[in-house]
Amino acid sequence: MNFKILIIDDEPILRESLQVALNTAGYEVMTSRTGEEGLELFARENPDLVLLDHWLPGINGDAVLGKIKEGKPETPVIIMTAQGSIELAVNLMKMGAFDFLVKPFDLEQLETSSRKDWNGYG
Amino acid sequence: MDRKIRILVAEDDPAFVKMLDDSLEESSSLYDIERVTSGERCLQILRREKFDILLLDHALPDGPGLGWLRRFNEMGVGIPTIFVTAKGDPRLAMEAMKEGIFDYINRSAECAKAFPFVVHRAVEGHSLMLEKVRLQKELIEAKNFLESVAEKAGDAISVVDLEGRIIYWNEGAERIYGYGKEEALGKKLSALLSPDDEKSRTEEEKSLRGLMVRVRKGEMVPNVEVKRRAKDGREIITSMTISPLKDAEGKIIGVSRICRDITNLKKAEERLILAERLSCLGELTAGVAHELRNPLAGIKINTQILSRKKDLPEMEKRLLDSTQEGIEKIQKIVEDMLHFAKPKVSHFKPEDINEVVEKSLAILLAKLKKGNISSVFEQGRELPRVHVDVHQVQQVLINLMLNAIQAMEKGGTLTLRTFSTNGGRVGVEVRDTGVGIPKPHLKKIFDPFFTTKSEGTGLGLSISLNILERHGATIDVSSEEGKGSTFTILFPAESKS
Repeated sequence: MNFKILIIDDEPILRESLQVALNTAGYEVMTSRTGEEGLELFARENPDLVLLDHWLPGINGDAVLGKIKEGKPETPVIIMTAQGSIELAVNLMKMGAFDFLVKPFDLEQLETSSRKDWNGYG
Repeated sequence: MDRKIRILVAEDDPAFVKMLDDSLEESSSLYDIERVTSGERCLQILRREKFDILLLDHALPDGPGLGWLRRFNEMGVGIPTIFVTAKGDPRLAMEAMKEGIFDYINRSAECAKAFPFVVHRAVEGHSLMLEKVRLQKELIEAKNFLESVAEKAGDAISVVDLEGRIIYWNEGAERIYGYGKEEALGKKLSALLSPDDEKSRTEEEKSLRGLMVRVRKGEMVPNVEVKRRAKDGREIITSMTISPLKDAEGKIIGVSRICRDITNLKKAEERLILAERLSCLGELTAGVAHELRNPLAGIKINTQILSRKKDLPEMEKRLLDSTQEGIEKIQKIVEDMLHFAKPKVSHFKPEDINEVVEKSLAILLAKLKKGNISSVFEQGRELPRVHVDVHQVQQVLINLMLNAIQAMEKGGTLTLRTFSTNGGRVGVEVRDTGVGIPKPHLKKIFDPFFTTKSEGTGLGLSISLNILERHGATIDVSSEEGKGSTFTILFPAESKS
């Protein structure tokens, strides 16, 4: 079965580019614009990895992360944020985030991060 | 006079005394008369009692009246005196006048008749004289009082005549403007204190001219803000109160200026305004930076996906490269903006400022060498430690030094100096011999995004200012075009605890 990645981000350019990048790398990718939509997809599709924007319209990244961790704590969630403070990173890691990427990050960073993921969980 | 006028008559001619008595008879209730017939006796009584008027004959049995008069005056018992001369002796009368008598009469019946009138005139004259002496004393005291108040006032007080020449210059003016009295008096005030640069001079002169028109109409103009230049070239901002100076008739003969030095107040005010503006701008900047980072993240990944394609044609490859370069630049700007908006958490520790400066300088040695710039570090000895975040202060110093290096494209000297003030503050000076900063730019260099360079975000100095403010430190700049710039940082005095 294909490795499924869920991207939750309200920035269309980033959604698009991540989708292309990850598709090219051979993953199955689904995207959503909001946390609400993202949680629905998560429940329905049961992805292997979530790339989650921290700052979302509607319910924010913290809440989405909390919900995911409640339901399926074993699913790794990588947080993407435009706000690169240490406090935020530490907080999110405590809440169970698997990794933390400050926008704009490199493709390689993303790959390293998701590969880390396979080794740990896959 | 509400009491009797006491008259002492020194006259040995009984016939004339009789005539005087007769003339005073009519209103005898007004007078109290004592009679003596010799100078010696007269002196005795004068030393014992007080009289209002002395009638003194020019020839007493024990000597000439004039001689006695001199003696009385010498002994300090002299009183207003009416001199009696022989009939028609103007020379003697003149001499007696010189001795300070009040009046004289001839030993004649007519004069005896007019005696009450003469007495009154003498009494009145004497009290007028006393009044004059008292007023003179008061005037001198008032003048002294005003002079010492004006002289010692903390403000600069100056007076100019109608030609604009300085006729008064107090100690405050000497201190604030740096010109001594001898340098200032007689000079044109405008020549002495007008700002150096053409633009502010014209501005100041124009606004002052308008004010002077009002003052010359008799109006007082309080608290106008006026820029002045001190002897050492420093720009001073004063709050000036201008008033017309009038003579006794109310005619305007000059203009006085009371000037309070509000330079520091103004600077503090400007700093506060700047700080407020920076904090507003900080919020805005943070928002913009965040918004930029999102699409930027997408664009960056896009270009990276594309750049992995092996078979990209040459032109596409070049376009992609420059796009990626652009993205790096934008990313750097965003980082700077965010740093400006939300500085890192500070870790304050007592540090040796010389070490901090040394380390910052060491980082730039290669750049200095490459730019053909020599560096001098004048280390202050036994400086108090400063309570700072060493990384942040280094960032500030490096920023200042980089600016200095960029100002010295053709090489030059970078001088760093550390020192302490009497108040226990520690200072660092960064001085270059570069192109200098044009005056109109001086006010703006700490503004975020103000830059004259093609490279750079214009955030360096505003971030520095931000950092220093968090340290309770101040930064000042002085610069002369073509000669160089000096930035001076002053850290607060360390508390003794």
